[in-house]
Amino acid sequence: MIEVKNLVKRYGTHTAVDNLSFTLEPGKIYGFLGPNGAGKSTTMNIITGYLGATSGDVVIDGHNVLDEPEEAKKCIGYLPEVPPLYLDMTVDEYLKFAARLKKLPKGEAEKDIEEAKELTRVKDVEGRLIKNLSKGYRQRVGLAYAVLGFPDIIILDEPTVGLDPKQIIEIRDLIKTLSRKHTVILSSHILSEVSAVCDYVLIIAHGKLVASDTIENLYKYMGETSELELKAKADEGQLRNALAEVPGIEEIQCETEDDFVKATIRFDGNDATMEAVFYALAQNRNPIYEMHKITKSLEELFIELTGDDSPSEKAGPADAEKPAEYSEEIERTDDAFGADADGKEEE
Amino acid sequence: MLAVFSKEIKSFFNSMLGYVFCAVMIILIGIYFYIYNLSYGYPYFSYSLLSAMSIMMFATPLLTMRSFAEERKSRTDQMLLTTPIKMHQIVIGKFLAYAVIYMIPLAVACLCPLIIKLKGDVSYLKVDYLTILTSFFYGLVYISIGIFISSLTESQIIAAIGSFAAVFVLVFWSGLTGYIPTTAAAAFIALTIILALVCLIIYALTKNGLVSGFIAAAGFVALIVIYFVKSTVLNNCLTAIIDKMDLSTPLSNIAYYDLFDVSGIIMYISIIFVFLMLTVFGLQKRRWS
Repeated sequence: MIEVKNLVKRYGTHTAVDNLSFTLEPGKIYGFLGPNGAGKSTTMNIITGYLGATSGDVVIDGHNVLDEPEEAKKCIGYLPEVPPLYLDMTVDEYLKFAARLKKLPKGEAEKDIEEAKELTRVKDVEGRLIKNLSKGYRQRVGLAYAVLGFPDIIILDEPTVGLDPKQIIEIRDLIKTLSRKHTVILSSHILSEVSAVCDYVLIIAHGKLVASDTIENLYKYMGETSELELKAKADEGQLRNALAEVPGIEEIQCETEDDFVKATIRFDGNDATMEAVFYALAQNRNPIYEMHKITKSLEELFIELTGDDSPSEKAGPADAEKPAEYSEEIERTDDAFGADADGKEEE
Repeated sequence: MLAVFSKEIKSFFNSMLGYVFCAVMIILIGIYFYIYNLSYGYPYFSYSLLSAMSIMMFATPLLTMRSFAEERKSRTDQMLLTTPIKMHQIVIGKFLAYAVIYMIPLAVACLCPLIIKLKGDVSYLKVDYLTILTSFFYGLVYISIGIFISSLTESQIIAAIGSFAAVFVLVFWSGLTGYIPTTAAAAFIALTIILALVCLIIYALTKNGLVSGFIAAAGFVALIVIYFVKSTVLNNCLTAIIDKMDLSTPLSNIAYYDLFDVSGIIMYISIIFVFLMLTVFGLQKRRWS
């Protein structure tokens, strides 16, 4: 279990991580999401004990990273953004060295190395110098290093950068396998990746936690839009006439395409209204070719939450206390996004 | 510690660096040995070794420039610092590896006194071997300084130039300090600068402005008083400090005067210890900020 309390990291006047607090439960895959420069890597570096925080605490399985660094580090396998590889070593030499650094017991080290190699599929390059390996293989060797000894917590900083689609899928599967026994934290600025793998998402912008919830809840929140997109064989006038009588419709935008019209309809969100639209067009003998409710994508939400008009920018340095309450509020509330959206409007 | 040690040794002999270092040292020692001892027939090997030691100016940076600068550049320090290994184990592991590599040319040099004994009429084995021992510790001082400088930067070139400059100043210390003017005013200025440096170091280590400020103020007042009351004290004081900082004294003591300087060896070991500690603190500071 990882507890992060009021973490702050300042570089001179620039605040990279601003009062970050969260608790991560064992046995789940957590996604750290945020645009470039949001403070993801800095946070991970602090959790793993590579960097010191300006203030705040990180407690890993009951060990404070500052007070008992050795104990805390034993619980963590870390793959940084750039895999920390010694290019003049072979894969085998490197993993053996890593096993000694990680203080794995002599007898188990061999077995652990074999397992890690098999899991990350680097077995066929085990005798080659790391400098001669391709980027994908290097990434996998880095991953083998992170999982070596199977620590409780595995932290991966952008693990799929630079890999081809097949390798990405392999690594995702690997992460899922790992999550059966370990807590996995991975960071990414790619949304599809996070939504494909993670159980729980922490969205970070400007060093602050702007949202933290399960993928399902995120989607639930985003699903609550009430726009309908339909494509029917009609012209704009016919369509508007047919739908004029339907109650619950607020606005219609049309675009004509040959014989078809593409309409975006804002409505009250009720299923009854959707059915009414269908029957109205059917009655007018305007066949519907396509009709679907628009769900707001994770991308849109992400942009909304992390954009330049995010609370941090608006609040400014004078309002330093507010974001702290704000992220706590998110943690407490089940409907995190409701709270968050409200918060935004208030700002 | 052993893991870092063996990794470091291996990587030296995987790259050319280890071989180049040993070759350069052995060639230079060999040249001086040939000229002084074999050609001129001078019975002391210590004298040739002392002359050859100036190569350490170039050789030390070769050995130490990579130590931490390269780790930081290639981000492998993230591996060292996020695994359960302790910081001082990393630093000592690396230091011992360089010490072992530095030992190789000196081990070869150990043959030279035997050759003199075998072929010459007179030989001074004790003096020669004690000189080799003293120069071993002398070189380790440079290595510890080099490691410290390398830990400050992520550029190997800056690390190399930095340690070259540091070793250069130490090698030519007595020559350079001979040019410091001997007037009381100059001594006053020099001592003020030394005082300021000491207070800055105290401040950097303790982050306590009050204590270091107080020491600085008290020291400065004392200096002014001494300057007006008895300015010759300042001169003597400065000369004493400068002489104490001449690291080559124990080496010349044994080579020129047959005087094995135990206190000098202890001074070497203390300096090595201080610089390794500084390296550990410097690296750790980033995690404790």
